[in-house]
Amino acid sequence: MEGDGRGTLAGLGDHVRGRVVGLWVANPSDRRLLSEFLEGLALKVRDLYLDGPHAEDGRPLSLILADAPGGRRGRERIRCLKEQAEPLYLPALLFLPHVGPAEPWLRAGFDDVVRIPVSKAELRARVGAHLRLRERTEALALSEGRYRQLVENALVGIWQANATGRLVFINQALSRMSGYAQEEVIGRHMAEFIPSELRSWLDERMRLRLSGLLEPDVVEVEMVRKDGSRFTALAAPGALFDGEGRVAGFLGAMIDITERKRLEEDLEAFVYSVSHDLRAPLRAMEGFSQALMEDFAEILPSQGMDYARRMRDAARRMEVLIQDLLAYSRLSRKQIRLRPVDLGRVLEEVLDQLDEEIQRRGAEVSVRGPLPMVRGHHTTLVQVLANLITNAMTFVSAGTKPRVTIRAQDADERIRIWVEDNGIGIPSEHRQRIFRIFERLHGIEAYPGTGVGLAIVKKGVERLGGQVGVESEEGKGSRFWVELSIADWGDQN
Amino acid sequence: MKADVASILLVEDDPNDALLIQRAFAKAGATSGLYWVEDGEEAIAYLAGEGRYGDRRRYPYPALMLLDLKLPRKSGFEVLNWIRGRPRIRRLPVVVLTSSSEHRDVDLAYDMGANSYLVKPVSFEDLIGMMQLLHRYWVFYNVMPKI
Repeated sequence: MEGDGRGTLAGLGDHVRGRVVGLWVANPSDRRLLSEFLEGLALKVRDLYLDGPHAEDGRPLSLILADAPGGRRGRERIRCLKEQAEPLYLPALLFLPHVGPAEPWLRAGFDDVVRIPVSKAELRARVGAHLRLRERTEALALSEGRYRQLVENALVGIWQANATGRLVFINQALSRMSGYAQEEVIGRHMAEFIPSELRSWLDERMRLRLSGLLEPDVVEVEMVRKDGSRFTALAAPGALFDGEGRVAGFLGAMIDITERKRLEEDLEAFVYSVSHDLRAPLRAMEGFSQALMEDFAEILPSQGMDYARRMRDAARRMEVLIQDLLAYSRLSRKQIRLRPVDLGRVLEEVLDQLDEEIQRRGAEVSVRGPLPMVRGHHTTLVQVLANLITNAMTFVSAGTKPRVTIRAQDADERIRIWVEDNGIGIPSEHRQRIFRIFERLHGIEAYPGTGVGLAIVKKGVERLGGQVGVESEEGKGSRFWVELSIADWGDQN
Repeated sequence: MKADVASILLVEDDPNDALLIQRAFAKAGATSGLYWVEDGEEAIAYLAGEGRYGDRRRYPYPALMLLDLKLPRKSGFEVLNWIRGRPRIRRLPVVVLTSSSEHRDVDLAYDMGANSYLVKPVSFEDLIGMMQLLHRYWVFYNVMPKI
């Protein structure tokens, strides 16, 4: 070696300190010179030439330096060490004189050739370059290990298939979900795990994905377990791309939603029975109390008439309550797709719907300024605002003319819609409670209502990804607000 | 006049509802005869003229059927299906009168050939109004098929 060998390894930081370099060098004085040089770079040296074959404990090797001609025993030993290091890169560098071809040695498994004599600066640079590569493979292995652990122990089912749709991996969760052992599914086509009637659907989706026409999406899909039984999965599949942007395979996650589907069906049946059966006795109560008042008015004392009227009113209230509950339940169940909605048109529809009530109450409802487009769902917003405005008109002190103002305000990326009234206001301790279902702050005599209206507002706004709240001063009215995202035109498609 | 002789067959299992509908019908000033059977099988027997229903002077063939969906023995849908599968009887106008407003029921009823779909109102006043309109439209204005 010639020149100045002092200094740090080019391009490497302190973290390479203490890395172990294995030497397969026959000549003792060369060995000593190299050791000194490497130790000067804060590296550790392990003498492979003198050590027995099993002396590989302590820190693993990061690099091997071997001298010419390597020798058969040496080549075998080095090949073995490199294999053990897999999948990490263990570079093996061979010192060769300036004469003779390098190519056979590179083919024999050496990663690089260093022509001797070599300057210290060059050797430093070469050692540094290969240690950098070594570090890259370590970082990749760490990241790979991290993802493997995340995937393997995830609570959701995860699978991967190659570009022809044959599975290369499923994780433990998917194995439990499907009843198949992890190794059992490898090499089998995805189509084998769905019902036959869905296979053409899957074919089409794979075709679209391969041609880049189908982005990752979320679908509900029937799956077949090993025992032939079925389960419903909510799946999020997508294509996997190689380094050059071609589809290398498919990858996805899924959860078993069978139980959730069953509960939904139970709820449907319950709602059906509520709407159907609970109302029949109500009709009888309403109808016959009315008949009593009409047909027996002459022989019924006024107290009897009063009782009959109370029965009829109670039946009517219960009907409204059932309708409100059904509306609340439908709101929780229905599929809502968010898209740009014109608030102005929503308000038009709401005011049209409430026209009769506004007239009856002699209320003054005004819309201030232009109303923007928001991200939402038309009929849900109609329901939300109709309930808010009805609420605003209802809670006024006797003899006060209800005055309701609706306006919109920009709030960062969102829109805040205000519904302001001149009503009785809400004491601060009740401001959260009023949005809960069946909560009422006032007796039914003072202010009629079912206690569902504001719960509908809250549920509806939540389904639209928004927020609702209220500011109020007792006796001076309330200002309810609904905050929604600004319309995103990407939603249109 | 046609409107005076046309009769309506009410298929309703709930005696309260049947009584209220009859009462609303009378209050609405409807002049047609309203005949009442309690389940789907009876409805089919009535239309087919089986047993005592063979006496068409006591049980005249209806010009219109008011049909509940949720019925014992044979559901309203089964009755509808039976009617639409018979020659001539298939022409009978059928108005569904039920408490369900679920889209599933509405769509299925129309798919099976219902001519109209009404949801029983809870308020008796509304029921009177409904019977008034129904009678006026179906018995007075509507041109009936030959059965």
